[in-house]
Amino acid sequence: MNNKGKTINLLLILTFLLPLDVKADLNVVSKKEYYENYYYFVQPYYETIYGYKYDTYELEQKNIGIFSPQKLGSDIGEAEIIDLKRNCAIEDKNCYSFQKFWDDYKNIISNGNTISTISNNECNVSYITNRKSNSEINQYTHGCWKEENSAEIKGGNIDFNVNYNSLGMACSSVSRSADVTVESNDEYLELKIVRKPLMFNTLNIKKEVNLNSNISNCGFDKQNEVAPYRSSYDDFKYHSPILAKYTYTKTTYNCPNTKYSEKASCNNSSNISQKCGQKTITAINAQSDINYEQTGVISNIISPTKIYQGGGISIGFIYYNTLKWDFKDGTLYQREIGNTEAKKRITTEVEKTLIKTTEQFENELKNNIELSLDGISSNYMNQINNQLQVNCQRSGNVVAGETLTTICTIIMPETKLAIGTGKIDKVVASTTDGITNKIYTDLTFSGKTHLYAKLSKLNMLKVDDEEEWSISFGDDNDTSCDVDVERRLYSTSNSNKVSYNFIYRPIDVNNPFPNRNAGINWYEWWNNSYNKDRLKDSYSNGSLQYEIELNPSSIKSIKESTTIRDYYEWNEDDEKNNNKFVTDNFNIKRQNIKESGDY
Amino acid sequence: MKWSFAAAGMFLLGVIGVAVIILFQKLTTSNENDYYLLKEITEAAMYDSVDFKYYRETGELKISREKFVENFTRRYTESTLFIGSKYIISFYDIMEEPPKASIIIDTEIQNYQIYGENTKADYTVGNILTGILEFVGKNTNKNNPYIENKTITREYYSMPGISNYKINFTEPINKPSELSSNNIKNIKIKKVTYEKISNNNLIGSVLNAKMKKELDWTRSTNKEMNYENNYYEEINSNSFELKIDIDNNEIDYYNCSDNSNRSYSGTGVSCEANYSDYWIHWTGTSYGNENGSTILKLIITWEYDEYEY
Repeated sequence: MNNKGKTINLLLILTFLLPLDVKADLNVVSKKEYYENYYYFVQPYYETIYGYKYDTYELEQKNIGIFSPQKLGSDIGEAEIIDLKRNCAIEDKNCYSFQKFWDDYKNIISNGNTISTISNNECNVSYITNRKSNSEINQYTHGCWKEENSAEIKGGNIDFNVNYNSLGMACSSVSRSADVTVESNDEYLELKIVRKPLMFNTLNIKKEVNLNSNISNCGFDKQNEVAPYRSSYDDFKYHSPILAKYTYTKTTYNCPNTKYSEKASCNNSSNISQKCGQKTITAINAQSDINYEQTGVISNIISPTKIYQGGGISIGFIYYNTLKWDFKDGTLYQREIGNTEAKKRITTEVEKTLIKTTEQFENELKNNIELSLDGISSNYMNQINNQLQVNCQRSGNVVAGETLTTICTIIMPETKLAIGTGKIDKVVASTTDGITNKIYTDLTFSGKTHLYAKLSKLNMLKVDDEEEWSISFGDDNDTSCDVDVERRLYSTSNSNKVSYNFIYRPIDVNNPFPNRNAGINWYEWWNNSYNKDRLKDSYSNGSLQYEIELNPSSIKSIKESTTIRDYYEWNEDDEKNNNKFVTDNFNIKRQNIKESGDY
Repeated sequence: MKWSFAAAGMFLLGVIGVAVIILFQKLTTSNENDYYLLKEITEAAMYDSVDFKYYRETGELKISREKFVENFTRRYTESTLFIGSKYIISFYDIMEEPPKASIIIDTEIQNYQIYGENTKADYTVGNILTGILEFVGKNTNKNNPYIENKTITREYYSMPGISNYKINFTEPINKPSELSSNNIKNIKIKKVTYEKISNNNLIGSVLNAKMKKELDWTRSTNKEMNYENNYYEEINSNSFELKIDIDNNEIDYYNCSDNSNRSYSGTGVSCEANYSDYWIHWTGTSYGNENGSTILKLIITWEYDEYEY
């Protein structure tokens, strides 16, 4: 007899409504999880069959079991009754025997967990969960049988002098048709088992074997032999265990993040955007699908577009990111906490698991900026990359329907030049927004310098590396990232000899530039008549600035005090920041000082 | 007897002659050495005292006055033959920029008094030199070394506030960094046009404007320019006003150097305050919002003369 139950009259009192339109966005991926729950119903003692009365008519009998609720947000399931047989062929994997039922039952109560908050007929429910990647199998008990006590099937104080183990229970089990109905809500799952009326003689039991203590005579090889348990000579007991199965699925949604790798031009801006139609967020006793939209705009400037040899370039990046999310209608599920608290928990989960904090974004971006410029030593460039800072400011809150805006400025470090030599002394983190800080090309470099920059980890969502966003500048020889470097200070001969581009000339103060114009750095100065007069008066007493007398004694003193300093080393200053050598040795000093623009 | 007197006389004459020769040799040879040293040491000291830090920061050539004085003196004490008992080195009007040094070296042992009729004059023999460092340009030998009327075009962003539907913007603007060298003169704004910014480029333009404000606008902290963070909130709330009724007649420029412009009278400009010699002026009427902010991209063409390196 096929006792496969049907999900008739499924009563599903659910606190959610399934969306009528499940149309998925293009980038939404659904994932199903499969749940199989097995419920092992033991027949109460007082319902068991008196086997000696072959014409016994047993009425319909009901068992109701309360079990853990199905997973939040899961679909409506299907219930059925599993046929239990006396014997199963070894090769028949789909056959479920009485022996297997009782062995499983024994295993659940021995090794499973107990749900103390759910009890059925004075005994707690025990269960075992077996989880795989996208499926879960749960086994629940309903009843009070325990092998170590007695063959007790709960129902009052019964004196047994026969202990029935699982084998004995299997021997005294008989098949019986049953129906199962399921009521599922957010607090529990209720299964109602209805054992159908039974005429005992329809079981076609040929022989009753009195097992007493000799359980090995159960006769499993013989289909129609059973061994009832008996409490007394006249008390034969058969019982009908029922195995119910309830299967359901749970669908979750996600948007696989897209890896962006964009190329952008300098002195321009570049946009990225991403939209997710549905993503499932799960919190404690709460679940909801959300949708979100993220945009990113990064702007760059490089200025100026032409510099002189050894000059400086200003570089700036600003990144503007917006993220907006909201609950998807009709997908909020909660258990015992109410919708308001459920939304609050979902919001917390979104903030914790989905969105980078400002500090996290700053640190990640800072460690994923690569800059390089032609004509700059690798050591200097490394120092610049190490001292870059990222300063982010965020406005808005992680609240459904509200836009979270994050604006990040990449701050170029400050380069300290050594006094006099102009060498790169050190590179320090900037104390301003950095746009006026310069990166200096090598003094001997001329031609074109080209900026290469790559900024990664621009996704405001927490994603794996392969899903991150990055934008690069200066790829494919993009000329927008070029800066012309004019040869001004040094020139290189055909034999690669480097020499200054300016010259030293002794001049006649009355006619310094005979038959030609003054050079570039003298032209405007020389065109001023006051300056012409000043030049002619170069040797007047009113122009004397420094004077020193050299004699054997002073020469000796000078040589001794300056042997350790090379000519190329710059001034050793006195306490007033004046040149110490001049202070110590000159009898006339710092007189008639005029700047070049003074008249 | 007379022959012995003649021989003695010849001997004395020879000694006197040798003395004179030695005297003049001392004057010329040592003085020649000193002049040579002066010339070479001045050159070396000027090169050593070039302030490369200043050059990197400005592109201009400059020496350090006291570095030069120190370096020159040290080199001279190391190098001179020092035939005499003392030297006096005097430095006159050392100019740091453009680099010039005037030096006199006085040995003070070659002092002479020349007697004339009722006159007497003292003379000293010394060495005197003025040296300069000079960039020779491409067109130094031409009549006019400047190439005139060169132009460069740059983008600027203007982000003023709107008050009672009106925009009235007058602000000093910085010349492009490319025109900051001393070899460039006669810089003027030649032309100003504008581009409206579409919604698609709005955020990118605002970001560029924010980054460039310190580089472009002289009074970038001026609140009237409205360069404040609230611009971003306005973008978010979509109240950022782009609908500006404006045409070319309402955008103008003003050059303090020669008052050259198209039609703008210069109201609101303050050349005396020394902010900048270049001013931008524009007015407009907004649709929609009575108050708010807006952004406009200005395309400014600059004209200049350059003495090329």
